[in-house]
Amino acid sequence: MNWFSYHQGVLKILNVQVGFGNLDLPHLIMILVGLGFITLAIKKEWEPYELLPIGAGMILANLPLTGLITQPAPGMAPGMAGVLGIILKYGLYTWTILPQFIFFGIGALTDFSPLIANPRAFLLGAAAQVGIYTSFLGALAIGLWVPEWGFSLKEACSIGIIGGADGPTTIYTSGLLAPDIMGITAVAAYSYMAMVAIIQPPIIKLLTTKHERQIYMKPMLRNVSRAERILFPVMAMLLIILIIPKSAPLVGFLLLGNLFRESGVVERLSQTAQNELINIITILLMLGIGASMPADRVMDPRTLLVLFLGLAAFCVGTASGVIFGKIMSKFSKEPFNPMLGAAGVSAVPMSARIVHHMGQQANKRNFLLMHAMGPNVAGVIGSAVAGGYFLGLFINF
Amino acid sequence: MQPATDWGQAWTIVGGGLMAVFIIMTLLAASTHLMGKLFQGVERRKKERAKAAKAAEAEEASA
Repeated sequence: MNWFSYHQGVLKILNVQVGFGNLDLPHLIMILVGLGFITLAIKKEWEPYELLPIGAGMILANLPLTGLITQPAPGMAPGMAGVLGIILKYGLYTWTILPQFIFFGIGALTDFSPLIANPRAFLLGAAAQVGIYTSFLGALAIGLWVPEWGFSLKEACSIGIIGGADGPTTIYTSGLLAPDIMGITAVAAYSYMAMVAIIQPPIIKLLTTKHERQIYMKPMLRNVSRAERILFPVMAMLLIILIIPKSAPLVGFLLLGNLFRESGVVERLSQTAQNELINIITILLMLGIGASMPADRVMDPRTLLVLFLGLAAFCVGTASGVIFGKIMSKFSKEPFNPMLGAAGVSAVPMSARIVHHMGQQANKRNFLLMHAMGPNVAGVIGSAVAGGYFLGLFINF
Repeated sequence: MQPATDWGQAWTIVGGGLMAVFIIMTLLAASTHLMGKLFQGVERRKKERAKAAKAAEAEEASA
């Protein structure tokens, strides 16, 4: 073998087996985006439990020749499927079990007492879902102007659901309706949840007067008995699922987790759901979300549109919540601060904290946190109902 | 490129979705309110009975 053919051979091996030789610009950009997410999670602490593993998943999925995102397929030789591909296929695309277990953990972590004590908050949780349908229409309207960037009905549903500001609902709905854009819808949902403090205050200020923001509400809600806290998840589960059966995977698991918590007799199971289970599922789910974004799927002008429409959904949801809050404030016998409507988006507990903080800025005597937690947890139920409604239209389990 | 959107279906989805969310949340609000009233009533009656029993005991003791 002469020197030249030896050199050619080495180059060939480098091209086929060494990552550097196969790293193209789109993949490099996605790796940088992944690094950006990790930086935001560590430096700014923006949703670190989500953005850090998502960023890591993105980097791993975009490194060339790893085979990590190779999904199992019939007839495939043993060991050929990659671990991220297995998580994607069974956790998100085929079995779709991960988001439901996250909801189970969220249910075990959620205290519905502020909502039970003030059931009017359900209406604020409903009003804040208007953003979902606005963005749904917006996504479809894009096809009128630029047909090649248009979205299908299923994709429009997946984009609209970002407005619910609920990660697991977005992932579950997108995973079943539009798996190709699932990753980006999930990232949008979690990013906007992390940016609640930037997005919501200007909208609230724009739609309310100083006088309205100053409205004082008594800080204490009534005590909710244990019996009510136990009966609530059972009653809500039966009522919602009997009307929209396709919401069962989300609503059923959320309220089942809550029943575990409130029953008081399965403390170990409740603790597991609140800690170990939700932590393990979060790792798998978020790595899977990151892995669902290889460059060839994401490097598309439509990705920017998804991000924009998701933001619009979140803004309209906040605005519709505040407007509904203003209507409730007009008709309420007792003083009612319309800012509470903004907490109807289900970014728990960030939205409630923002409303509380703005309430205190306007009137130092105000303590709105418990009042705002009601619409906030109602928003979780509302967005799960909206997701279930979309699934009912297109999916036959 | 996506096939042309069926706007009739799209508006039906929006109308149906908003109606479903508002109806379910209104029903939940109403049933939670009723549940609260029921349990608050039970609690109040329990307290009243306990108060009456205490008063009767005190009367008996003074007699």
